[in-house]
Amino acid sequence: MFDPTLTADATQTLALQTRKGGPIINFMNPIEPHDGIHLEVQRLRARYTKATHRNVGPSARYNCHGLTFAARRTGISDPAQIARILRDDGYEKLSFGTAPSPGDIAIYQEDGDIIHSGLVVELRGDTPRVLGKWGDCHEVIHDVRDCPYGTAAVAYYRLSR
Amino acid sequence: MTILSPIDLRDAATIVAVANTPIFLAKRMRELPAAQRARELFTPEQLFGALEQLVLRKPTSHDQVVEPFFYLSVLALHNQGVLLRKASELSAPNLRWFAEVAAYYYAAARPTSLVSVGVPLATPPAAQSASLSPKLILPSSVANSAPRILRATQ
Repeated sequence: MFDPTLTADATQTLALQTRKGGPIINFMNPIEPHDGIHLEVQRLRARYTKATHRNVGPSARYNCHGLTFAARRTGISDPAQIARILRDDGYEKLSFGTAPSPGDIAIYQEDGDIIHSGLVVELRGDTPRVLGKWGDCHEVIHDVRDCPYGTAAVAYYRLSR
Repeated sequence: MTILSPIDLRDAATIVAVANTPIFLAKRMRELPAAQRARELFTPEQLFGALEQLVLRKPTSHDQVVEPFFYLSVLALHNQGVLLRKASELSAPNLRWFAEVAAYYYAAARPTSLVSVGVPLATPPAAQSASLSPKLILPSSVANSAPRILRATQ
């Protein structure tokens, strides 16, 4: 629960729940990113030239999972929390070979860790384009594997109701 | 300047910047070629000593956030369980995920050597005799109920 008595630079936790009322552990860091993060954003823009780099961020208030599941209000870093959200909220995993459509969720998983997530925003041919937050950096719309997390296994989930 | 000044930390800085989870940060940092090189240059004791100081610092730049995690990843490459446990117990109030990353490295540490220790079996005093023939010593309750063949050989 957000605590207004804490100092302005203190990390906060918001009251966040799944559809079944399960609490979601989260962190919201309001500190402005250090100057070095802006340099990292520039490096990422130079490296991933096919991506659309949004002028949103950098920010430590939320991460990719916070964008995907918490409307950019806070960050979620525990893979168990993501798994709980997917289960409790009723997300259905698309079967292999089923093409995702805009609005679906892309989940990047590696050795049991959910290292990235994002929203499918369009399909370019057979390649989904995903809107994601890259850590403390900015938001990027990128081909599903054209990102720092591209070596992970990617699965798509859909909320049907 | 820190002891790692000869090391290029640019890739480490990117990892810290784009990490969405502490495990991603831990794994990618440890895989860096720079971390492998640093392992050859610095002892575990040097790395832990630096960590003890750095976790108390409030970072004022991104590089100051990166350094402790890089030190920690190099310490992990040394696979020193004792120092990794100590690192996981350090208080790092200004470093998000430091505790989680240190705990991950400590959990992943494996022993580097196994020592076999021989434990001689203690010989009961009653069995210590000049006889070279081995004897089967049975409790009386068992001996009395033993089959005849055993009594004949005793």
